[in-house]
Parts: sequence; structure tokens; C-alpha cells
Amino acid sequence: MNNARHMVEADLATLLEGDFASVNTKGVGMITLIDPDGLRHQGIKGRIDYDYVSMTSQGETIAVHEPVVVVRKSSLPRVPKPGERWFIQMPTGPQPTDPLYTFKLNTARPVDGGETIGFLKMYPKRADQE
Amino acid sequence: MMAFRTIDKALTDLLIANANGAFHVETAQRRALDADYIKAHPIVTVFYEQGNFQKGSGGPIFSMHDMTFRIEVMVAQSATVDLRTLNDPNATSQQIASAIAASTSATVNADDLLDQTLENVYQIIRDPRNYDLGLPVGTVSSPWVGSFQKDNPLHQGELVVLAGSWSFTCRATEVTKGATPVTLAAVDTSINVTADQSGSTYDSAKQGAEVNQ
Repeated sequence: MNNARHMVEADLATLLEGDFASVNTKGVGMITLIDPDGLRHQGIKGRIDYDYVSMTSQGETIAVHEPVVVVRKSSLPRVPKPGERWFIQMPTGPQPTDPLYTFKLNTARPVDGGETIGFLKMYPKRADQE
Repeated sequence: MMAFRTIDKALTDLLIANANGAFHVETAQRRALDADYIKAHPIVTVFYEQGNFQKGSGGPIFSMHDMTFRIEVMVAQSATVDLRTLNDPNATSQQIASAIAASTSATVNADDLLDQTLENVYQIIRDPRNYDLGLPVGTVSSPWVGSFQKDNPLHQGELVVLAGSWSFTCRATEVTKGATPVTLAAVDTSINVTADQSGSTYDSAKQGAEVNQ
């Protein structure tokens, strides 16, 4: 390791692409990014969180279904820019056999906010057939 | 029941009767709803927002009530794209790029649906046939849609939620009956004059009719 930044990058590989990675039964990453030029970037490994717990204004605790995809920057061809139209194919659940679905990436929301060393958070939004 | 509650219910019933499946009418104000539920059915909520009573020289029984109702519309939408092309493993990058370029964002779709639902609501409440909101003629006066406002889109889960509202104003008479209404004893006010001071003579049996008329 050259410096702390490289160590963090290596740790991210363990965190995001190790036991918590979304992979199929063959260990291949199940995330596919489709860039605005129509190019598919397949086999990306990363962690997908599907739900989070929140509280309503009435004080009720609820589970909100909002997938968040966390990947290493170095595993992407490039970082999606705000306003670009990117799509992402990923499993709809945590099981290796869960079906894949195509979502639209919300690029209006900053993917890292400039505060991270080496990972990106992406927010897929549902896309329906037009 | 006071007039503002009667009119609140009448507005709600009017929208329910004319929705024709275009939207659902919820009666509770700003209740928590699942965005998926809102996506399936645009939600319209009617609630009494504020009222003003003009001070007058009249007694306490009758009061003019200038009331404002908020008619809130909420929709949720997803993005749309030609998924068949994106999911086709044989599609070329040019075909995929064209499908992506033709896609529409959830925000745009939500804005379109909100405008459409707002138009439906406006056309119902401003239809001349609905001037009285289904209430007896004269119950409501000066019905008017005074303003409209649209909120910012919110990203809720996988969807985008957008809300807007009409401000509906009208005037009605409120009658004060007391929290625990009292039934007053009847007072006989019939006139039974036998003679007046100016020389005319009245027949008491005919309840005040002047004799020799």
C-alpha cells in the first residue's frame, strides 16, 4: 500500500465487492450500467440496499422501499454527470435468483457530494414501459 | 351542523360523484399514503382551511362566514422509457441511445398528470350546474376558485410525488344554536285588540280586523 487513500480503496473492495456484494451464483456482479451513448457496462459489483426505516410526520415507523446502490468509483467507466440519462439493470431483491429490472438513475441527486474517497451512491428510480 | 362543515362535505361528495375514476377523494387532511397507492390513483383531498367572520351590527344568532377550502391534489409517477429496447440483449448501442434520448423523467410525467387532474377538479367545481355544490339553492354564495399553487417535486422511494392545490372560497350564513341547543317555550304573539286609542274599533274575534271594513 502506498498511502491511506489506497488502503481505503482496498477496504472498499472488501466492503462493497466482498460478502455484501450483489452477485449471481457464479460470483459475477449483477449490476449493469447503461450510459447515455447506449453502451452497457456489465458485471459491476456493488452493494445494494433496498429499504430503509423512517418515521412519518404522524410518528409512525415505516419501511421505505428506496434502493441505493453503492459501488467503487474505480469499478465504473465514468461517473454519471448531473442531468445525464443513465439506466441501471440490477436485481429487484437480495437473492441471487431475484429477477433483474431496469431502473433510471436519478442523476439530479449528487452521487457522492464530493465527500467520499472512493465510492459512489446511486439512486435508481422506477422506469415503466412508455 | 355549521355551514362550513356542510359545504366541506358537499364539496367532497361533489368530487366523488364526478371523479369518473380519474382520481380518488380522501377525506383526511395530509394523511400518510404510500407513493405506490398515489401512483395508481391521483389523490384529491378537501379540507376547510380558514374562515373570516365580518363584524356586523346584527345579533349573535346569524353570522356571515367567508370560508376558504383547500382542494389538494397529489400524484406520483415513475420515469418512462422503451424497456423492450433496453432489455433486448441484441439491441445496438444506437438503438439503446435513441430509447434513452426519448425517455421521459418521472418529474415531467408527474407534472403532466398533476395538471390534468387539476383541470378535472377545476372543471367540476366551476361547472355552472354545480354552483350550489348540490346543496339547497341559497346555501352557498359567491363560490370562487381564488388561487392555485404547485409544490416542488419530492423523490419518495422509487417514485416522484408532486402536489398542488386550489383555493376555493365561498360565503354562507352560520347559525348559532349553542353547543347544547335549548328548546325555548313558545310565546303566543297573536294580536287581540279590542279598541285602539284613535277611535277605530277592532273585532277581537277576527284577530285585529277593523270593524265595518
